[in-house]
Amino acid sequence: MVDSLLGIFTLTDVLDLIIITVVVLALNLMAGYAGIPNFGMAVFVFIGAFILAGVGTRIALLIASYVDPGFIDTLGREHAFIALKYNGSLRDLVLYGVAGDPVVNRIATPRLEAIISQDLILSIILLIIVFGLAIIVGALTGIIASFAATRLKEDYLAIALLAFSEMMVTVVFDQTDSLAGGPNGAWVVRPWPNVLENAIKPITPTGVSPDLMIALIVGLLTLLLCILYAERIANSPMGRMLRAMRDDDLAISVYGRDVALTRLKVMAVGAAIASIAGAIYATIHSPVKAIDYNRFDWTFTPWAMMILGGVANNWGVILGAITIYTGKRLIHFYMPGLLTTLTPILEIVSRFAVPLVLVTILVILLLVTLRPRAKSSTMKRLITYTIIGLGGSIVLVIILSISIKAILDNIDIVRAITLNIFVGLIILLVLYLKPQGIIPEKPSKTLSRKELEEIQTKSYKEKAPNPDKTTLDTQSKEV
Amino acid sequence: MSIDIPEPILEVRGVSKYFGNLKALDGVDLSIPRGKVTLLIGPNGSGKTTLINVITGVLRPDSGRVVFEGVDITGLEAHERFRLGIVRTFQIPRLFQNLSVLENTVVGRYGNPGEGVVRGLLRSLWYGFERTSHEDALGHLDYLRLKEQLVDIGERRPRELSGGQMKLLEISRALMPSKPKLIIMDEPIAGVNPVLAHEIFSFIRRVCARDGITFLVVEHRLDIAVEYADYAYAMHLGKVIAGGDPRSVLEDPRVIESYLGG
Repeated sequence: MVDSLLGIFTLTDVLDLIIITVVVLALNLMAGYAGIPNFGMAVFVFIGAFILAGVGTRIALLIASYVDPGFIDTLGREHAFIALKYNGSLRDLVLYGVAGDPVVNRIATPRLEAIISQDLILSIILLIIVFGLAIIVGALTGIIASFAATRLKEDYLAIALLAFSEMMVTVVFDQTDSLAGGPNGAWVVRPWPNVLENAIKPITPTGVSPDLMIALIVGLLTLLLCILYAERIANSPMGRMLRAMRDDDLAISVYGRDVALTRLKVMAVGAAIASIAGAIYATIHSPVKAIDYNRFDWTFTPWAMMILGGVANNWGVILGAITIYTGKRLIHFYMPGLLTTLTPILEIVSRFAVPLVLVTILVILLLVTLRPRAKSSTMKRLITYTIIGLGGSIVLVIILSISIKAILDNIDIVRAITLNIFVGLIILLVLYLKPQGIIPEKPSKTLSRKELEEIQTKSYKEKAPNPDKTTLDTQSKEV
Repeated sequence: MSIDIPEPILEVRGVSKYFGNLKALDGVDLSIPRGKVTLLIGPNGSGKTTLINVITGVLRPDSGRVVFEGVDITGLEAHERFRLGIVRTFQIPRLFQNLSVLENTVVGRYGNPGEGVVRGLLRSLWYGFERTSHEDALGHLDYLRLKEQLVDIGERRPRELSGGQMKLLEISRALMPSKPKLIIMDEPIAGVNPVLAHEIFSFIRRVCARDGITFLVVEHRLDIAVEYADYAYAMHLGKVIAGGDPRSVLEDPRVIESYLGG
């Protein structure tokens, strides 16, 4: 019970919540403030995780074989197949084996971690390289994605970024074994020194791994820095300019702002933040599999959180993240019990499956034709797709209810479907009922209220005895 | 058709622009005199707004050149042209709908050191600039009768304003850039009551005389506009058909014919 809050939140879930909140803040900067419809968030998170799994392990092997030249030989002696397959070749092991070969990866990573974590200097070197690369490569990915952002219109851009993310995560990384194990994934070498683990031992609850504790601390620090950064930027001239660019990019470019360059910068910063989040996430959720960084968990869910909380309001999106994540946990926790209760109802549904499916499809068509009020075309599309998606899910549930037995046997599928419906429903309801979210957007507080009032009274005083203005008034009356 | 202007700030040379088969601009030649108010008139669909879009870099011409202060700016982006000193307003106000009235004005001033992903964090860097822009913005809003809209210090959004007030807000934003050389206004007094319309034009004249800023004003309400202009050009079917002294342009038979339909 120590490591679990109300029995629903384990400490791992707390970490996940922290990570997703960082991702939502980054998304809010890119999509909420700068108006870039970033439907490719998943790839930026994945890049950070990949750096840890695919690059960190390789660097760790290089470091380990440098400090201990016999490391590969020892590995080969203990596991004959490694000696046979790689013949003691460091080059082959670095290029392929340590990250690409799931068996070698599984054997080598704990040993590498042991060697590196012993030495404070080595682990700091690895830490700096890994997180430095996560920031740099993340930012570069953001910049590459922003090239499309300068050339495409909002709705096309959303699709282009979604395609970019899908292509990278599920095609390139999931299908290419040599990068990071492909579908098997790759285990990571955590860059934490032993010293740190010993230092936090007193505050670690029993039964919780020190790695999780460190990840929690690092994650929390990252989150605090992100909130600080996002809030400072939001209440600076930059925040105001970004919001203006989002509302009308033509008007802001006519007022001298380089829209392409600004988008590039924002994409670089946002992607780098998401990448750090992905790297911290990967230290706990090892092995890193591309499939875990899917569009639903890392793109659509953050979008739903942002829309629910309030676009372009940092505190709002944090609230949105907490709300939806708690909802997800509740669904996860209570689903099995609920399902048992629902079985009789499902049985009835299954009897009338065909007419119910027809009615649902009719309702979907009706809703799509009576497209709801929405500000931008992206939102309109979003709503349409949500209706279709949601309706589709309902149809699926009805069809699935025909074989209740099978559903009950596969609780994971039911959870996944329910989560889809839950997130879709939230997007739909918020956009229908309160499109501005729980906490609406506020003006950028570049100057405090007091300072503004001071300026206002000052300008009144100056304006009052203005002779220029009085002559102008008389002139206009004469005309 | 162009009149002889000794020291033009802006020259448009043989600019053509097609939208599919439609010839929106057909070899337009005109020169805008420095430090004066120039009026651009013409019936609906004569190509006035297209010409402004070409001058400000919103549209690229299919042929011809735009020369600003002796420099060919035909290939420059809209934001680069602004940085040379060309400011414009839009016929249908393009306000930032989710920014407050005050923010809409303040954002018109370019060059704030706080507009960066890192520099935005350093308040001391941009505080002074921000204060001055707010002072100026409040001054403009006060002058343009928008101060009353600042209940609760500018928390109001543009969508809560009337059509005329939106127009005024757009003008107040156009007056914000620190050192403009040419301000192009697309129908600044459309939907504004006559008294205020006269005031806006007197204001334009005053700014023109005081700061030596050149104005190019597109306007339909000639009765009000003519008195305040130094020069005028008339367009019809994508061509400049008359240019020169405003009254003589108005009396030009081709202009009368284009307006009344011949």
